[in-house]
Amino acid sequence: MKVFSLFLLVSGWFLVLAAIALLRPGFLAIFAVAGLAVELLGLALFARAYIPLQQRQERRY
Amino acid sequence: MMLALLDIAGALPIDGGTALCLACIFLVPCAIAGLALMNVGLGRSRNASHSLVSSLCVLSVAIAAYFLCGFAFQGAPGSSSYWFLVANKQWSWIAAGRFLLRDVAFDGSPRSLTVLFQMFCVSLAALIPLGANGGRWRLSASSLSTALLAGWTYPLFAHWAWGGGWLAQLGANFGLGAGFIDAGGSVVIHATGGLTALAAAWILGPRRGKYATGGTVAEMPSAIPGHDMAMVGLGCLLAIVGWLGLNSAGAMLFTNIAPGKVVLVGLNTILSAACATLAAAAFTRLRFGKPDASVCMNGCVGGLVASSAGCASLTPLFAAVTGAVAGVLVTYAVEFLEVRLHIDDPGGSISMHAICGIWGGVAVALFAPGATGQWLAQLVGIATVLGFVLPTSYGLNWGINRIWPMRVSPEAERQGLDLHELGAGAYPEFITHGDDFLAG
Repeated sequence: MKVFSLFLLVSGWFLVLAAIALLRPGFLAIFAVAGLAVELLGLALFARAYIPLQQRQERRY
Repeated sequence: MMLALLDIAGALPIDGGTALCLACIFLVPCAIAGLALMNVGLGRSRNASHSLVSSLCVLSVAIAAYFLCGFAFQGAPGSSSYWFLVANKQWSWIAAGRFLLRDVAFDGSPRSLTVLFQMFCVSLAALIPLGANGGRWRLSASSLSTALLAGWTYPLFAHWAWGGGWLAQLGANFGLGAGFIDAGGSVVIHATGGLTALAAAWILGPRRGKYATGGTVAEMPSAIPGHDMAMVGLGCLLAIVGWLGLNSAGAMLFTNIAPGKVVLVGLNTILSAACATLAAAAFTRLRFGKPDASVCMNGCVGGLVASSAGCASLTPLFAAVTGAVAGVLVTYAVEFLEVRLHIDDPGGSISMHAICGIWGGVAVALFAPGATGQWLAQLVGIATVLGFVLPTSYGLNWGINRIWPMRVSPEAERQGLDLHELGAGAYPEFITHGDDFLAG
């Protein structure tokens, strides 16, 4: 889950970079926003992946 | 007589603008001292000495790493860099400077002023993770993590935004406004430091006892209050002084404002901090019945952080709005991170620096008057800090943790890092945590 989330973070950034390099202004904005949305999804999944892990650690103590 | 005076003025080694910039740069250490004091005050008394020593060590390591290779990777606008060609445009991705500052002439030129300013900026960024991870981060591991932040992650992102890199060139190359604008470092310094703090906090986990009561997982985290609110308040006031210098120097060096416009920068900075403090006080008063001291101070610093990006481009009204939103954001973020995401951030660093730093970048997109496409340039900058800095910092800290475990043992945590890592407490004449300390 964590690796996948990190992958999403980086992919979203590459999507934004690709949009700047390849697209016209109208499409650029759409793809840049989509790239940021992918990053936020990755961030949310990454944060979520840590919650049960911490709870398991606390149970061990 | 007049001619003699003119001669003296002509013989001065630096002009008025340079002198003002230097004076502003020399105020920045106040911000560093302020953050260090806040980190100490918001931590436990058993970790107070350790927190201050860690701040000093981290500061030293950051300066050494930046001196060694950081500035060579970052560079300044106009200096040589490595680039690649995409869509017939140059994308400068890393500076091609010489290590140990061998290609810098220390003559009061903008390049030399940038070096001096960046020494303080990188120290500020390096202090941020300490605030979020106090009470459980080994001194050696935090120093190692700082070396990588100051020697690689920070310089690379700072080159893109401040050193004439591809983010700064978005306007010239792709018509996106004036390129990514971050005059005082909301994103470059604070979001970078804050996201590194977040990565380290995930890897280290919360302090013992934060989420457990009686061996079971608690619904609500235990409150572990800071031990010295007076120290936090002093730190907050010092930070205001330091931020005036930080924003003014950053605006002069990276957005090329005229020295007279520093008045606007100072006004925006203090307005944002004031509105953020008031917003945090009002919000905590509404939610909990009384204003919360630590959240108000976190809110004040959050306002300062948010003010940095647009300090030279926003009108005072929008600077005030930016600060007020930052104050509310800090209030919510502190609770959200602690209760919902189980991220233990004793100093509120992630809320103050990462979240308010990103908000500062967004505020420029929303409020700054300027060319079309500026909001896209800001969005690209924010996407870059999330997509590059967070994974890089996480990966580097994960690697350090595999080789050199970052977290202290449970026994060290119970005993306190002052005694465990330094051999002496900060307050030897007082029993400040007798129950834990004497309980065997």
